Amino acid sequence: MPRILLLLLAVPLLAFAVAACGDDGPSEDALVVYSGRNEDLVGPLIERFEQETGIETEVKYADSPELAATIIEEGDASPADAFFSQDAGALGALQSESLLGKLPAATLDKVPEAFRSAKGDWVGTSARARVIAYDKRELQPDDLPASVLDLTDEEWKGRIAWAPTNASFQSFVTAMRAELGEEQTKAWLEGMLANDVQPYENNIAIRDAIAKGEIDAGLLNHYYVAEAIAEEGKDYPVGIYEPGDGDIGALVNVAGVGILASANQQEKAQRFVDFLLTDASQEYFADELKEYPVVPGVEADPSLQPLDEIEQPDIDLNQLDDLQGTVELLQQTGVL
Amino acid sequence: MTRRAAPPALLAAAGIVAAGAVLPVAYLAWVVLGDLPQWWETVWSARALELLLRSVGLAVAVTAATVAISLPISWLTVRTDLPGRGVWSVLCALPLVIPSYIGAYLLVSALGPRGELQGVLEGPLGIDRLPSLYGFWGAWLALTLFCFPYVLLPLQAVLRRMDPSLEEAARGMGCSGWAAYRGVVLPQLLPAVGAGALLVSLYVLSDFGAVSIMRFDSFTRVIYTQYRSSFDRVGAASLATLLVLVTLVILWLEARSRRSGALHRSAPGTARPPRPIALGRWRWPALAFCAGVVGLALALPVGMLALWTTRSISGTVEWGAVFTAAGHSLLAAGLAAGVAVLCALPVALLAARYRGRWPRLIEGGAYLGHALPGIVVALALVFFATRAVVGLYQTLAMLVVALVILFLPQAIGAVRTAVLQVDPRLEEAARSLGRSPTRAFVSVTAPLLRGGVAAGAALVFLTAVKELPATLILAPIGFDTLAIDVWRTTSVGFYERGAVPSLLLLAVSAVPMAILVLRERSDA
Amino acid sequence: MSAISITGLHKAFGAARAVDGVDLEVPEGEICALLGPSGCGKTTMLRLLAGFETPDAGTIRVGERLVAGDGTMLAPEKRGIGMVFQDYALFPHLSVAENVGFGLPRGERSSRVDELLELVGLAGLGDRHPHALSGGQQQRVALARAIAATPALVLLDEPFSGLDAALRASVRGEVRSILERAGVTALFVTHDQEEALSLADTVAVMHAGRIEQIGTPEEVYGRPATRWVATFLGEADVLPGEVTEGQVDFELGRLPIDPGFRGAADVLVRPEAVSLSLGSGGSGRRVEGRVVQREYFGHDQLVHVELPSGRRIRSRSLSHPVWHEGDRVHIAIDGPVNVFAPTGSP
Repeated sequence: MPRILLLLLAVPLLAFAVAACGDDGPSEDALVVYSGRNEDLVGPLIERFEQETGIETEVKYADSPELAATIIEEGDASPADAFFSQDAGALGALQSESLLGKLPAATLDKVPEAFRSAKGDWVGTSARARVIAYDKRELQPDDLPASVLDLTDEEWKGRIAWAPTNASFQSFVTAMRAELGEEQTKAWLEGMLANDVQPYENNIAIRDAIAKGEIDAGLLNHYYVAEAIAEEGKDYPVGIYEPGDGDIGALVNVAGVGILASANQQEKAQRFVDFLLTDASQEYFADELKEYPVVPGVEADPSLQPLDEIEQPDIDLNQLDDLQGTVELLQQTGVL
Repeated sequence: MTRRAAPPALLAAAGIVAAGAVLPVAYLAWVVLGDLPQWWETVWSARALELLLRSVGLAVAVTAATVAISLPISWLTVRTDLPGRGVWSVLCALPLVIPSYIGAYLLVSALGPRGELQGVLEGPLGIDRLPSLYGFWGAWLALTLFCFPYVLLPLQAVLRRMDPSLEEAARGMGCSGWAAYRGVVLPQLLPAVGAGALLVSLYVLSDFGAVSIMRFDSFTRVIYTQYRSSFDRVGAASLATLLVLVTLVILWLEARSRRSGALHRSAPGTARPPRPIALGRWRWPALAFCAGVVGLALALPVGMLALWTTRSISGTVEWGAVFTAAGHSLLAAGLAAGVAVLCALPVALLAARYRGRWPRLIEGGAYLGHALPGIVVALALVFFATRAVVGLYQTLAMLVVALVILFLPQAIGAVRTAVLQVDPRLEEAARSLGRSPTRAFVSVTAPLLRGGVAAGAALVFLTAVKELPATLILAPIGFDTLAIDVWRTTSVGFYERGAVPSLLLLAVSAVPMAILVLRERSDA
Repeated sequence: MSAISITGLHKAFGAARAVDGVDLEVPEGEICALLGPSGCGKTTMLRLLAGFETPDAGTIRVGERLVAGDGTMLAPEKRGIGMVFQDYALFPHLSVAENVGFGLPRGERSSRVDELLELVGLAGLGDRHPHALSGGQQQRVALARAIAATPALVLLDEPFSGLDAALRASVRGEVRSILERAGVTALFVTHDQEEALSLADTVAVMHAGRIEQIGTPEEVYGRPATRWVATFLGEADVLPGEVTEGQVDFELGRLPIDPGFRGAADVLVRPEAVSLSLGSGGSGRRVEGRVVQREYFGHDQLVHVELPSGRRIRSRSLSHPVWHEGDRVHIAIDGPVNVFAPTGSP
């Protein structure tokens, strides 16, 4: 009997031993980054950081909101030193839980005020614009309306796609609430629903649906289309349209980074943040990811309408942390 | 036998397992108790009720469909002379390895309004779009196709061990084949159907992949949305508590539907292996049915992946990284499967052989984690680990614990069904021959449970290997698995590149699955 | 010395008192049958003896050793009791030889297994699996397994219930001779009185959790202690009677029996104690009746006769003479009858 019991006990113990020792785990002085940005996008950049600074860097990749939720649960015990987020919202959530430390002015000042936290908790690293992507086989830029607000017209019934669960879309609605107020936003959302807007899982699904001819146009971020054009060539059937005249449809949002207040590697994390704001890194965002650089003096991809030519709505990104209200509105109107 | 009280050691072992499995519920309670007014507001709303109805409706529809598919296939592949039934057995189990997020995406790509099928039909027939696949029926189709093996596998296991003389006796009494099946075979299959249906319904409640691709607002999708867009842990946890309640109701219904659970022979003597029933001219419709199911659930997604693989630029595949990821997947899912069956054994024994409040509570507790979205279980473990066992946080052990909590019921269901088929008199016989309870279990019951244990381990392995939300949060840094690989490539839109790790995921899962199914067959 | 001694044994399941105060002694080397209808508690008795149930009260000794009661509860594996289960409980994953050798120390296995298979007449079948054997063969494997480790006591739970009638009689004889050759004490439970009477040295008749009577087969059949035993064990017809000074008067005559009470009585008459004849004959008062039914069994016959009072009585006799429905016959008592105080309607 003892032999059998030992055997029964041995298996899980062995499993846990393997589990506990099998991996080296993050070494004590490595920098730990939680990255909500995909490894395929920023992996090469982080490798470059390790090479240039000699700092061993461990990166945990997952979706930004999940990582933010994880950090909130971890609290002060979080192994993370820096949080590299796909959007401002997730950083805002950590900021409101007071989990982020203050960045030095020298770092913050590299970036225009519009692209950083007013409290100094995080800084934008690259920007993207909301656009209307359209099927070039069906539509010309002139056919598209001057404002996203006009998409509620009968003309667009059943022809427009959006991704209401997508963080970028919700940021956009948050901005719309800040800009136009609760009532008008609600009216627009209801108008879109009445106009048979088609919900998709995410930006890529919208882009691919347009490319397949499943739907005529959709609301998404510019680089999804820019990347596809870069990969597929000029004949790619999806085009980018920027509503003009400061329309809310041309909102510019950022990916950003913050340092956790509980970080063990404050100094290395600071070097990581500064690295992301170097000209070289900014060029990487511009050239490889087709995003807009946020440090003045670095040029965007020539195929894009330059950031300063986009007639941006006058929105403070720091106002975009009221996602709670947006989700409530989206649920109330039945969009979510 | 069921009148006696359970041995304390067994009760304690099963109790520990159940206590681990209810950790996520404890976490939910902790979060919700911090803000009871918001909990009430969230739970007691028309929106919550609507979500509840939608999710329950989907779970019911999917469960019914999986049972409807599995009953004929299990009978055909086990009891008849269906040509190539070994191959069909393996093929019909394989859809389980297709992650619902990939499967649903592939279905849309193939059968969606402008999918591949439409492309094929457009030329000759001029069809420029197919009816929409999105919404309830799309989610229903995807979940049915990729979940039905949860019902099929336990059914096949029971059928293989069922005493054929019962069916023969019924036919000898003048029953037609169908009447014999309905009157004798079906009632014996019911516990297995119940166990499988339970797994399917809980899985459907917890699924995020298929419902999000199919744009069907289920409970779990909204819970994710709460975390993702509003970072509203109280709101998400509040909704999750409702999911716990639904789970309790389902468990209660399932427990009520179990009548006399024992499946072993009551007659003297020992079962002899069954002789296959000749299908005759029915073999062609039977083949067509199996082929249709396998075609939709397996050939179509695999074909799409293969098509994409040829389209993608093979130079961009980092084979070294993909194989490392495959190794990690095998390790994590293998450990999860092993630990899960070990944990399932005491719970299954208790549930199958003893009645009373504690056995029922413990079994119910062990099932609770299964209906919860992976993210809830993962965050619960983050919460407890960073407060109680920091040393284990961000280790493989933590990931294994999460996978076990999520998928333990799959192992319990399979093992419990196997336990019901072993006559407890056998253990008593061993004891009267001088073996201690433990040794009697090991020398007599355990060998007879082997099939059930292997089936349980396989189920957990197959589900764990494709699990994503908890794996993403809990995997140690740098521990890439195939599922993470697939997520990484697909979340930035490189669906074509995701084809290679997806195919490898299928291959990794198919091998143990095939070995399991084939060995089962040769045993029988 | 007694192989089993049980005193004051009680076991209840909830409100149901399965065993309700049983005392039982079984001498060493004897075969004892525990006979009773289903639900009388006999299987619970067996499971209490084997150690699968814990008694609520009372003690069980096997040989000199206390195995249950008085704070002792010896585990089944420590009792040294062999058991043959009703469904045999053969291990389906083991061969016949492995089944038989299951309870033996590894070293002794092969030689002892061969010996046992020889004993039960299954030599050469050791490599088969149980499902490849007939019911009778499986039964003998179960028996061989139970006696393999030469236990002091073997328990058999309805050992013949799974066999068909033709097989039952021959297997019964074989089992008896195997048990005798093995020299073990055996206790078997059965609901079949013929089985109990033909196989056992001692029969304990159980009813509603209690033992009604213990004795040799002849005793329990010929001199049932209670009216219940009399009717359960074999066939009997009940006729009302009257006990007076040392004798009993009833419809079939006056018999010199003193049951120890006076007044109204039930007279139980077994069919084989009733003889029929044509015309005159027999002693005492002559009673005439009419044949209403005849059941023919080959070696004997059972004839139902209507008495002048309208009551019926059965008579068992050899196949001759052949009676027919409607025959007028004379009825005489030609064997022992039993008299009990009446318990309501006959």
